[in-house]
Amino acid sequence: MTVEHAIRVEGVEKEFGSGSSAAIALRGATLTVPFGGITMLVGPSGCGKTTLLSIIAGLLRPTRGAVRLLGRDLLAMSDRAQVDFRRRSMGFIFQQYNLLPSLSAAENASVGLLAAGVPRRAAVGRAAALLSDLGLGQKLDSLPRTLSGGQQQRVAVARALAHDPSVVLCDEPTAALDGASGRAVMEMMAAIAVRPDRAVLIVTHDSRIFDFAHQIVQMEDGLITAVEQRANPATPTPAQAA
Amino acid sequence: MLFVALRMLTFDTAKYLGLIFTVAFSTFLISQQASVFASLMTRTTSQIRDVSDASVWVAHPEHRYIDEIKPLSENALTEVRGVEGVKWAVRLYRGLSRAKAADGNFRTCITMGVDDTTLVGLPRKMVLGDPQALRQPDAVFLDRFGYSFFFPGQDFRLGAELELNDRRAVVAGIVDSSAPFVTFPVIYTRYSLALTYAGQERNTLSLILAEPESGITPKQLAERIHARTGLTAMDAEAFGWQTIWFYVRNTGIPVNFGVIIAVGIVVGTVVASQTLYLFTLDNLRQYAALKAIGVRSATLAGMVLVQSSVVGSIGFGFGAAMCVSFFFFTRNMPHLRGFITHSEILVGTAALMALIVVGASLLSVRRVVALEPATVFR
Ligand SMILES: Nc1ncnc2c1ncn2[C@@H]1O[C@H](COP(=O)(O)OP(=O)(O)O)[C@@H](O)[C@H]1O
Ligand SMILES: [Mg+2]
Repeated sequence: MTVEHAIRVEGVEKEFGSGSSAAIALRGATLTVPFGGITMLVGPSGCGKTTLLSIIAGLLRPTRGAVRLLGRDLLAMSDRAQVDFRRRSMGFIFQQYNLLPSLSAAENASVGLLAAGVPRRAAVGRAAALLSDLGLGQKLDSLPRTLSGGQQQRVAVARALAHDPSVVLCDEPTAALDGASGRAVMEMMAAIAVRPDRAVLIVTHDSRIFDFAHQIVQMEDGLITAVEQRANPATPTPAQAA
Repeated sequence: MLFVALRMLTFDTAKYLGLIFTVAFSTFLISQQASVFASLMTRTTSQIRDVSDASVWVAHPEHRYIDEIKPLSENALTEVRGVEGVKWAVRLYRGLSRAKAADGNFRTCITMGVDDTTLVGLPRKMVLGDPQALRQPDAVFLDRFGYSFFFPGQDFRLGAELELNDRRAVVAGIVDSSAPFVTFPVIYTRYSLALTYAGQERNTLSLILAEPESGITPKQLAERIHARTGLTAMDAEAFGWQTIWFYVRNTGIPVNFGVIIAVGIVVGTVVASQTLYLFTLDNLRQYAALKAIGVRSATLAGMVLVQSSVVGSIGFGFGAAMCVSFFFFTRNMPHLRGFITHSEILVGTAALMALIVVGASLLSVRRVVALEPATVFR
């Protein structure tokens, strides 16, 4: 069976709480994320982007609707199966980096591999190679607190990619960074993360990076309002990526 | 993920040492206090435990405990000797007397008068001299702490003289006796000599020590003696417990001490579990990230348990070492003599600490497992 779309979300609704205090975050969002490019989910603050991303990640259960990832029905899986699925098939990049302060850059980048049972030496070795590709070859043994925000986010990128996930999910990856660092991170992503057999979904309201998108999905008040395909997204030259 | 758990634990050295210190402190608090209490209570039975040659104690039915004894009649000894199954039975005198050194230094002493013929009732361990020397005229044995009190700064030496209730006594041996509850010096002498030292009291047979014939347990013999003579008879252990219970019922010491120990246990437990719990809560965001990445809850729980166990083991080790050292370095202080770390208490404290570690881990693991991994997106 060939899987057409990496992610397929249909009529997803999400209510927080119940009764009069209920907050409706999603009102029936429908969305398709293809392989082989970067999809950006954009929209004003509070429109439900993070909620939708969390549902796609299997970190949050929707009130109604269907979610298929890599052809599988996410909502039919047990919690445990979702965890295993996340570990194998997904990579995450958070706004706050969420690196472990006690681990070196290379060790941090290897956490996904370690969780998958790869022996420590091999895991750290693979992560270190990836970090070098991301221009952090000199910082392998550095602790997160000694790295700049942009460098920390690149470690997070390495952590998200080290185990070769089919889906990479990012929530505001550049929001905490200045413009230049944000662009540098995006150039890395475009150069390394984008592959024909992988989908990258980035939640953002940082318009400075929109030009890296292959597809831009507009969201407003819990609904998808527009989808725009981009013919020529910014592709970094090898010099830019290094 | 084991090394990740350990790295998380040791990363912040101050915090890590703080955790260990807390557990060590709690361990010390609990084991030291409980040991002091247990030692204090066993000290009340020192004169019973030091008699190793006889296993059955016979006392007047109206006696209260070893320190409050009603004298027996001479007839009682004959009666006890007549009970079938008694291998032998001998007199024991126990009383207080005033001892004075040549320089006028005086003190109330516990005086033990042991059987003239057999010397049954002497402690086993002599620091200086030979047990047979007690047969010499005016001979007394002094315990080594009594010696240091009456002859401060002097080396142990035989032949030193004391006045016991204004009568001459010659130190013919130095024994190693267990510290009595009241830390009085202990003097051993022959029964007949003890009577002359005691003076006024007419009837002075304090206790009878008896030994069963082979094939009869001390407990059985004690029951038999009681049945035949109406006297109180107990094996040494029961006699010791009777003394301990007397102190428990009739002095405020055990109750007050018990309260202090209980407070120590509660404080130690609360402080240790709180600290361990808070440590995990501090790392909650890291666990959320790991959970989002796909680390199973069971693995996270294992990490928390490893961290707590490491802190628990090292902390307990230090705490127990502190407790043992405390009693080691105070072992020669007269008022703390006989105070030891009871191994049962260390085992108990270890069990309690293990319980705390597991309990605190379970509590915090609940937070880790119930954790919404989606919080890492906030
Ligand atoms: N755990 C929650 N409990 C209650 N309301 C929530 C919760 N998470 C999100 N919301 C609400 O849902 C709406 C969408 O939030 P979110 O998905 O974070 O928006 P965005 O990421 O686009 O800024 C907001 O109104 C927010 O207040
Ligand atoms: Mg958001």
